[in-house]
Order: sequence, then C-alpha cells, then structure tokens
Amino acid sequence: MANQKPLLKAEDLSKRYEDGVLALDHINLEVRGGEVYCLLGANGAGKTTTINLFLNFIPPTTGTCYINGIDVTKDPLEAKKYVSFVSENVMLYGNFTARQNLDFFAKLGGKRDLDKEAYYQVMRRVSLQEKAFEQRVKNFSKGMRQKLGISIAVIKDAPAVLLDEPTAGLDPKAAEEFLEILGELKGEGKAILMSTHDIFRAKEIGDRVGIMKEGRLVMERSREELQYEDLVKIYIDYMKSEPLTA
Amino acid sequence: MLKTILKREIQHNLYSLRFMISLVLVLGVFIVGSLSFVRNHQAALEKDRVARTEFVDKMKADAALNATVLAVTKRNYPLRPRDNGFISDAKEKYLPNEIVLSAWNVFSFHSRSGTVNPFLTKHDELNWSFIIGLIVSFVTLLFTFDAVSGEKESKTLALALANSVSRGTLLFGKYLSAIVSILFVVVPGVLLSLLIILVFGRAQFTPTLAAETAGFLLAVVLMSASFAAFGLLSSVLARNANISLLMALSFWLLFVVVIPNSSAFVAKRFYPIESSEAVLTKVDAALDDLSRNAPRGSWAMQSQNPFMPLHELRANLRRKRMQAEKAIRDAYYRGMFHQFERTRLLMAVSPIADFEYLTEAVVSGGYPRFRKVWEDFHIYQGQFLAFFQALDARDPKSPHWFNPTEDVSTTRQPVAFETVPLFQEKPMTLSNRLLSSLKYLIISAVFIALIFSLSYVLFVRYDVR
Repeated sequence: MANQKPLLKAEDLSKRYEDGVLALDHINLEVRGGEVYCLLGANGAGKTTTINLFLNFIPPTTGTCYINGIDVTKDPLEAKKYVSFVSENVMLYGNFTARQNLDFFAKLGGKRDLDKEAYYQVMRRVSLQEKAFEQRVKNFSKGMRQKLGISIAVIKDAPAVLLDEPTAGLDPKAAEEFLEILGELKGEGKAILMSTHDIFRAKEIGDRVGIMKEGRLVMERSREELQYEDLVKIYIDYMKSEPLTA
Repeated sequence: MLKTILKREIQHNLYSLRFMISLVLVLGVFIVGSLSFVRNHQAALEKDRVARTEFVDKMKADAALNATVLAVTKRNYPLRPRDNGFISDAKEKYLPNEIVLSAWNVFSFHSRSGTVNPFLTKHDELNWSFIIGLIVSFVTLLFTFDAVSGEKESKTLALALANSVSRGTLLFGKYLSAIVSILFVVVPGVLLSLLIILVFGRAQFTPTLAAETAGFLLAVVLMSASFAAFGLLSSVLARNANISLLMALSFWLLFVVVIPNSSAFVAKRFYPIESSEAVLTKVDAALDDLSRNAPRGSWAMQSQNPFMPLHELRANLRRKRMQAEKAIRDAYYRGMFHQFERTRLLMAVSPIADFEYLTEAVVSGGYPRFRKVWEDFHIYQGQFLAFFQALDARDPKSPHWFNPTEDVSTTRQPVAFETVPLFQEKPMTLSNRLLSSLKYLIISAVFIALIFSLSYVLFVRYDVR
C-alpha cells in the first residue's frame, strides 16, 4: 500500500530543447512509496525526458523535480542518494565481470564494505545465473545485462526507482522475471516510475498509469479505475486522436 | 568516491587490449633502444677517447715548443658524449658539438658529425625521451579519447551520474587514472632499460642517475597530463567515440608533428637575424678597414726573428682585427641564441616541446648544456690567457707584444704541460637544472590547468543521455 509521502514529484515540469522542440509541457505527477507509476506513450512523447529531468541530466525549462522532497536542480547530489536508475539496453562495462560492475556501481551508490556474498545474493535475487557472476559482461545477453542493471538498482536500496523502458527488447520470460523483481521492490515500499511501451505489463504492474502525448500527460488512471476500462483501447484512441494544439 | 572511480578506470585501462599492445610496443622499443645505446655509446666513447688523446698529445707538443705556440694555436674542443644519453639525446645531433678557441679567444662553434656515412648523420635514436614523446603521447590519447564519449555510447555515463557523484569528480577520476595507467606502461620500460644499461653498459647506478630518472618520470607525468587533458577534451567535444578519436589524432598531429617541425619557419618569420654570409661580409669589411688604416710596417713579419721591433705593430693590428671580428661574431651569436630561445618559448605551446625542454634540463644536455659549455669556455679562455700572460711576464726576454694569432712577440720558453689549465666540462648543478626547467614547468602547469578546465566546463554542459 502506498504511503502518503511522494518520493518522486514533478511540478509544472516543462522542457523546451535548444532547437525549439517542446518535449515536455507542464507535467505534474507524483509517485509515492510502494507505488508503481507507468508512463506510456509513443516515441518522442516525453517519457524519457521526464526521467532525464528527474536525474538532472538536463535542466527543466519550467517547473521542478523533487526526489524525496529535494529539488534535484538545487541539490542534485543529495537528491540522487534517494534514487536508483535502470535504463533501456544497459551495456555496462564489458571487460568487467558482473560482480565487478555491481561493486563499482554499489560504491558509487554509497554502499561500501559489501562482501562478495552480498553481491552474489543480489544477483541471485534478480535470477542471474550463478555461473555468470564472475563472467565478463561483454558476453552477456540483453536479458542478463538488464538483470544486472536492476541488481545495481536493488543493491543501492534507494527509496525511489526510475526505469526507462527496461523491458524493451527482452523476451517474454525475461520481461516477466523483470516485473517480478519490480513487484518485490514495490513490496519493499519503493516508489517506482517506469516509462514503457508495454501496455499489458503496465496494466499488470502499474498502480497508476499515465499516457503521454506530445509532451503532455493526457491521461492518468489508477489500478482501480482500470479495472473497469480497457487500457489498450484508451491508449490507441489517444494515439489516433488529432495532434494536440500548442 | 574519487578512489572508487580511479580504481575502476585504472582497472578498465589495464584490462584493455590497447594497454597490452602499448605495453608490448613500449617495452620492445625500450629494449631495442637501450641495447642500441649500449653499443653506440661504447663506440662513441672509444672515438672520443682517441680524439682526446690526440688533442692532449698535440697540446703537449705545443707546450714543449713554447708557451706562445700553446697560446695562439686554435683548438677544436669536442663535447663529450653524455653517459645519460639513453634518457634523452636532447637533439644534440642538431646542435654544435665542437668549440674552437685559443688562449686569446673563443672563436666559434661547429657541428662535427664524425660519421662514416653522411646519409646516416641525422637518424633518430630510440632513447627514452623519443619513445615517450612519440609513442606514449599517442597512447595517452588512446586511453582518454573515449573516456566520456565511449561511456555515453555504452550508457554507463548516465548510469554513473544517476548517483551522487559530481561530474567534476568523475572527470578528474578519469583524468588521473589515465596518467596512472600511462605510468604502468612507462615505468616497466624505464626499469627494463636501466637494467640493460647497468648490466650490459656496465654503468653505475649513482644518486645522479636516480635523480635524473625521477626527474624524467616527472616530465613524463606532465606530458601525459597534457595529452590526457587533450584526450578528455576530444571526448567531451564529441558525441561519439569515432569523432573523439579523430579529434584526438588531430591534436596529436598538431602538437607532435606540426608545431615542433615549424620552429625554423617561426624563427625566420618572427625573429629574423642576419645570414652568416652577411656576417662574413661585415667581418671582411671591418678587417679590410683596419688593415688599410694600419700604420706602415704593420704587416712586417720575420718568423726567424720573433722579437723584431715591427712585430709590435703587427701584434697591435692582429689584436684589433681579432677584437673587431669577435665583436661582430659575438653579436651574431647573441642574435642566434636570442632567436633560438624566443622560438623555443613559442614552441612550448606544444606539450612535446615542453617535454623535450624539461628532459634536456633533467639530463643536463641539449641547448642548456651547449650554452653552459659556451659560457664555461669563455671563463676557461680567460684563465688560459691569464696563465699565459703570467708565463710571459716572468720571461725577461719577452717584449710582451701580445699577438693573438702568431708565434712571435711573446715568450719563447717551453711550458710544463702539467701546469697548463685544461678544460673540464661540468654538468649543470641541480639548481641550474631547476632554473632552466622552471619556465617550462610553469607553461606545462598552466597549459594542463587550462585544457582540463575547458574539458570540465564542457563536461558540465555535456548531454550524458
């Protein structure tokens, strides 16, 4: 059950790029602890831009992102203590083993003094094969890399998690395993914001689902509301609808 | 945090194929260079020993004839091959290595090749400085050109910066790790080379050699720091690693090939001096003028009668001619030195040129060595003249008409060779070496700070997505 404090909050968030393209248009959203928020939308709808703004990779044109109540533009290093990130198609360091990758990112995430067994436990938890623990990542499949990517998020143990199309390109089994881990993280009370194209899984895992179009959050539904509505139809209707006017 | 980044980056470099290839290449070249030095240096020392023996024998023979012959004979003093030439040849093959003087004057300097085949006089030697300048500068760029752009492509940059790590710390960690990784390539090569020199060259590992090695490694750190800064700059200027590599190669060509090889053009364009032909014409005119205006009988000469009265006029004329020529030539040499020094200062915008100037100072070689020797020869010439004049003053038969170029007009007495002052080249003192390298240290430091700061500013604005 989600608690009341929003761990991720976007307030009047806009982003206009230097070439004039308005990628995000006054977005407001909140994700509380123990809640999974899925952002759906076509390519270029603004899903990844939203996540990039939360990570302070780009500055907002207007508005503010808060992580655990901290303004990410004002104090990004403090804010990032409370967030983990899993991107689409993580390559990681190919000439490092899975454990070495995990060790490096764990330390960057502030987790020091972890022993080999602690890393192994996390990798077991994300169902990475035991024999892969000490193998170089350059030989990993995409699914294995994504599992390692989520193990990096798991080991950081931050209260908020940002996922940018984490299941893109994964086979159904790997995607299913991935979502199981997300469910566990949700159960631990983490606030999860995930951008995805996968409507079915968004409905399955999301406590709330938002649909983005041309930089705007055009629809938001809770799990309860979606019990009585067809998310696929809503999504397709929005995609087919006339372009939004500025 | 910096330690974590540093450790990962160093591991990343050491695990890479580029590191293995660089290490093998550098070690191979160090081995070949050291063996080649041992062989060539022993031959050069033997040649130098023979030349010096002949030189001393000739001086002894002149001293046995009389002190005036000893004083007025022009001698070519060859500079000794340096024992630390394996660290850097300091481009001495392009510099004068022979100085012409008598007790009366330091006349000029020459380049003596002494090689059998004139086509082989200007070959480059595989000394440490050459290896580092050419190969390691390139390898440093290879370690850094994709430090940012490569990680952007693999998306690890975004993953790293999703944590509480500042961009400055990340960039500095990458920068520092490249320099440390270069030392993992260079230090084994240097140690291996030292081992070869000590074992096969039968050299001694003296405190001076230890200090020179340490000084050389410091120069390597500064040079790698410059090229690493350029590598990072290439990396943050580009959005992908291929473009970064192209930029890094352009930097390398500019600073290793273009700038150092444009010194002659820069010197002629910005600091022009008279040609040697113009100087010779000027000398001839001055000498003609003196000869024309000399009193009658000034050219009278009877070598069988050294103290003939007219020899006094001849001695006066010879002295005036020598002083007139010396004034013109010394002004020309000062112009040359000025031109060379100013050009070097401009060339110091290249980290490779800086590195060469620093290693010159470290090994007490190259241009600073030449300048010191040139000054020391002037001091020696003064001592030699004073010695001769004291001998002459003690001879009651001498009329003391000082003719600087001919065996007449001064003492005819032989001189004990053991009492004759001999020139002994002294290496630059530590303080002289530091002084000589100070401006290049400052230029290097400013250069590194500027390029790294620029990389940092660009990285702060870099789109890591």
